[in-house]
Amino acid sequence: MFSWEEFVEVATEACGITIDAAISGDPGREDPNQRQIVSALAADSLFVTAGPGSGKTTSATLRILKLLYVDALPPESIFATTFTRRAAAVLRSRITSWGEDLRQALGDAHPTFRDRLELLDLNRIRVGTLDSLAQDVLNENKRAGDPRPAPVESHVLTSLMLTEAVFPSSASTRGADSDAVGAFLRQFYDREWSTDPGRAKAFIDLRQRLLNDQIDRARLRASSDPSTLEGLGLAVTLDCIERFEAVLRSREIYDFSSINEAFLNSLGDGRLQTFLADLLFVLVDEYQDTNYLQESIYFQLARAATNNGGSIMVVGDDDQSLYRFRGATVELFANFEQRLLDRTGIRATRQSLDRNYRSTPEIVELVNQYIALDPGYAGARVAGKPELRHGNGNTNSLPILGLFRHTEEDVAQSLARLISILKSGRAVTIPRQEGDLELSLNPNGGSAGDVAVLTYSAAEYGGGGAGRRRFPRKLREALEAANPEVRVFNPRGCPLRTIEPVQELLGNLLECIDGDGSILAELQTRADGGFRYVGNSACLQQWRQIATSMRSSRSAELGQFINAWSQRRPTRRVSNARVSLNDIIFKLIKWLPDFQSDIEHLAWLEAIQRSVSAAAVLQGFAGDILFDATDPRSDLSRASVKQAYTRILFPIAEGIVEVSEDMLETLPLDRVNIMTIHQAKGLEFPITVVDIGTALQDLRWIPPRSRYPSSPDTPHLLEDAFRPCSDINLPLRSPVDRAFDDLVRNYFVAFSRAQDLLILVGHEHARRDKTSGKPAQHVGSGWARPASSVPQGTWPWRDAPFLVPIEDMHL
Amino acid sequence: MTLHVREPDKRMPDFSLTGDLLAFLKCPLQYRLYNRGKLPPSVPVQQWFGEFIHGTMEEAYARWRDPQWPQYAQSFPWAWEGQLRDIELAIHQRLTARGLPPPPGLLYKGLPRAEYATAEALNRGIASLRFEMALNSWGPHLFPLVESAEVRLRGSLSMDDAARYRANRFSVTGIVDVLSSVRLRQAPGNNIIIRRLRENPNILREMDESAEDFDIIVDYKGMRRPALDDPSWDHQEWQIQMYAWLRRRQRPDRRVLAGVLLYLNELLPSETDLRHLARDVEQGQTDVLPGRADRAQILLRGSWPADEEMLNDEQRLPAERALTVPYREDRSFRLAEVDHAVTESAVEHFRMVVAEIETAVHTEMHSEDARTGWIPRPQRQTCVACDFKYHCPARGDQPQVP
Repeated sequence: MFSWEEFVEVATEACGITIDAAISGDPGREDPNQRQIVSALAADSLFVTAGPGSGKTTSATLRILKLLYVDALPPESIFATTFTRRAAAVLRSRITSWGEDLRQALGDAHPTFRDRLELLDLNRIRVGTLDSLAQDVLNENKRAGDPRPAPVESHVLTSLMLTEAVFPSSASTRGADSDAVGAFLRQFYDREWSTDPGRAKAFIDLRQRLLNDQIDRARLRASSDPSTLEGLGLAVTLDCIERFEAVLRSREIYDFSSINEAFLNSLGDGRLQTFLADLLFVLVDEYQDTNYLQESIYFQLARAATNNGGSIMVVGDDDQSLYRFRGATVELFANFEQRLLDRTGIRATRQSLDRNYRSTPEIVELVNQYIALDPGYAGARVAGKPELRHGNGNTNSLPILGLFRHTEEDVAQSLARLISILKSGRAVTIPRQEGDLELSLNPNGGSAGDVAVLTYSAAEYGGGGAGRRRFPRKLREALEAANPEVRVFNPRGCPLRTIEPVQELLGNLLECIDGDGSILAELQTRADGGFRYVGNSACLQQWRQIATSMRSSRSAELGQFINAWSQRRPTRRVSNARVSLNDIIFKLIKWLPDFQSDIEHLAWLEAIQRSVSAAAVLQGFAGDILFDATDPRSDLSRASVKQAYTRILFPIAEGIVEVSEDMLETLPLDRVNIMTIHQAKGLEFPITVVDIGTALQDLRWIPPRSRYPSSPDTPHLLEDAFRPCSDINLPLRSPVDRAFDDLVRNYFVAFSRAQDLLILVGHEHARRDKTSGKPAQHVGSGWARPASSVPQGTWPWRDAPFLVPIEDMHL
Repeated sequence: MTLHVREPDKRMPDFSLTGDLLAFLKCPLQYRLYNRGKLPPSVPVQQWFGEFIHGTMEEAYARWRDPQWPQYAQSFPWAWEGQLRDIELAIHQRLTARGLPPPPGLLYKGLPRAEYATAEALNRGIASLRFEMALNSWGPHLFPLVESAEVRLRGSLSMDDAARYRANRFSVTGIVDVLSSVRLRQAPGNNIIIRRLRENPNILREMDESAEDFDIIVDYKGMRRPALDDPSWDHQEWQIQMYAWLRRRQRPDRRVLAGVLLYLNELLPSETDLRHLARDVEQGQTDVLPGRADRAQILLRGSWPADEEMLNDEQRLPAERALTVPYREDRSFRLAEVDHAVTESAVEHFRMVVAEIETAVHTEMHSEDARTGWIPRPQRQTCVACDFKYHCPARGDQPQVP
């Protein structure tokens, strides 16, 4: 439509990006690698490695706009996916926003093209996560009677697995509770998952693996010896999973993987011919977190696009792959060029985005040093990948700071003091040889929300919520006790069941529906061969106790309401009704005001109430209680309460229901965010605090996978056990190496989130290992891999010359 | 050295016309909690019926045009047993799989949900009866005119300058059925949709005197026809104008002449609907006035229930069909002519609504109280079914048992 030169001139002006300095001038601002990506021909397939903060969204957006405005690709021929809904929304926003600006500018510059430009509907570009786009395409091409796939929440799947596959074991359906299943699971998990909900969760996990790795189940069954306990366990597990899948099919229930599977099948059976005939460009962002099922889809799409004269472009960074536990397979990215060629005949050209526009030079240098520290990691990286360079996007210059103390409490106290001072608008002065360092938040809009604390796990308590206070908890307490107080946002810090306000709410709910606890008791003593699971009754008891103990501090009306409910004594002219648990909850929060207004409480409330709604998928009473004032103890009424226990309250008590990440899309500006490194992926913060070992004072506090994975973790074991029965055909490093690689990547992502200031926090000294007497190996103290000849302790942060310590005297 | 300030995500907010903008106009606080906060309504009557009626009409249309479903190629009316029930059950299953089962009695009465497949005629609830009325009243005339069903519309607009906290633009989405001029011109003369469209002089002129292609958009409403003094009367007019604007972005080569809103409750009004209608007629707040016989029937139900909660009982049908078929169809059909100036004003209006939402989001993000910035807009009908009325600053109702 327009020439490259016209496009560059207008885009430089409209988007403020120097794409091609030979045309627009200002060579100092051009990123030549970006220019090559954007200017690539429509038929050029690209494999782009893109370091953190290197402007991959910008490059992807400009390539798409160039395809539209220069190569005249129709918008509906473009299919762009990324890993999270958030990232997809950002990409869509950028394409629309810049695209509209370009349309305006090109129309102004070339009035004769205005009518043609008017016809260009940017909204027809498909941008989204793969499953959401698969859903759209399937729905657009569905025939009468076809289901409309939409994913259900994960805890609903677990509950379904529990009720439809784990419990109904009998003589004819071998038991999910058998020792054989325990022995089979122990091969991959660090336990046998002895409880029914635990096994249901494990089965869901295994099913994901089967789907995502496209495992041939017949081959898998044939590969094991049914005379062994483990072999029998595999057979029983597969039976349970297949029973569960039959229920999913009959009720048209989908999860993300089954939507992708349906999409792949439809791509192959001809029903998406019209869609494929129009396809010209496929963009896959965050390719490092792709699984084999997704790769199979992308390769089908790539074939169609290239047959139509178009191409595929994948963008990713193997150093930032974090989702192996969900089936992501970084090796598919590392071997992309060869796999694409072997499986589709398409040759992709490699490009690298290696200039970091996010961080200070010091942070970029640290990130580079870090990723090269472990010689064992080099073999896992994309070969020939260039080092990250500072791209002059952030010209601030600040040293990396270190805050190390003798206990977790001390780290928490010092860090809280630092943040509190900054929040108050004052400066912190840190002396150093080059001159004092003055730290303060931006006076124009700076807030506590500029600070993020990243940890391997944001859990505030150990032991599934019942154990010791962990660093995130200690920091929360210290921040909330500081003067001025600093509030924290960490709604996933505790399992729902252990959060006191949630316990109070649920305790009151229990008092309403089963005031004397007799229905629960009846459920636990049933011996009719029906539902056997008795739930985490200790947890339920605790909820009741908390609700009772808090009652005196609440309005007397709350007690009256609960009494009336528990005795089924109506206070209005309705004696018989079917009442949603959500109705009772909405009424109870009248007297629990934090649930009306506080953002964290609202996130918890949403998780609880969505689990009530989701119970509808499990059929039956669908989260309703039958209120019958004329016969309060009727069988039907009690049955409805029992179902509320088994389908809603027990799953919450077992920790199956969690606050989902979707609920956290808008982070509050005034609070310090404590989050996992996974949650921080794709985000950036002016001040980033990374916990590199606050728990090192006692090694029992740190699971090996987050410190020194001397043995492989579940995902690595599952990969090795199942993949021989798949056509994935991927050379893998040893499982222990993969576990180390994953840990290296985790902290690479953490460090590279920082824009201006990176603060490393940890224990003063790594505790010495009892057997070797050497300091514990850890990301903060350095490690040598088990089979490595490199001596350990190669990067002791504490004494690193580049690290400026923050001492208490500075605060 | 100045540190950066954490910027909110550069995400263009996405607004559904009905799910966001009309919901916000109804009550900002309720919108914050149900729509932004995704707290599920305890009795989602409106939500379920809206989804059900769109789902069943879409599936009915798909089966009608698919030669693989020969039993649906027969002439209308379709029978409940043999044709409609299967569609109802399919949509019921689809909605249940998404965690949206029908509120008790709405689809079928006297049966647990697990036994819905065994429902008989006497079990049918108001949703099932309304689907039949909608399908057999409008289906025979509408389906032959449909060029595309369930068309997804999406367009972006620049954000008002004062509301550019998160993004410079926002997007608006909607879903409609589209009728094409080609099909309108080909359809037989006894098509009652065409007859109604031709009552509009501009459409008549375009159909008879112009060879240009144009579109008519159609949206089903699972509700009664609003009163003239109900703000939603104007809001729904703006909605049509906005749909026209979005469709124009999608197909600049086709003009949208008008929009049709089909108020499906009007085909089978409940006792509550009739009470509302009585009030509208008495106060001159409806544009479709009844003839003498219908007026007498309507005014018989003129009294408001003493118990406000009775207003929420949308399921009770009158003992006998109170109103004549032509009057019910007149009330069900609303034509909104698309006019450039009105469209521009509707677009501007929605831009202002988005600016209000964005300002509320911004206020909330800087506040300790998530409700700050979301001002409740209490209205009798909205509040009756609202789960937040117990703690809404504008109401503070006392919770009752059950």
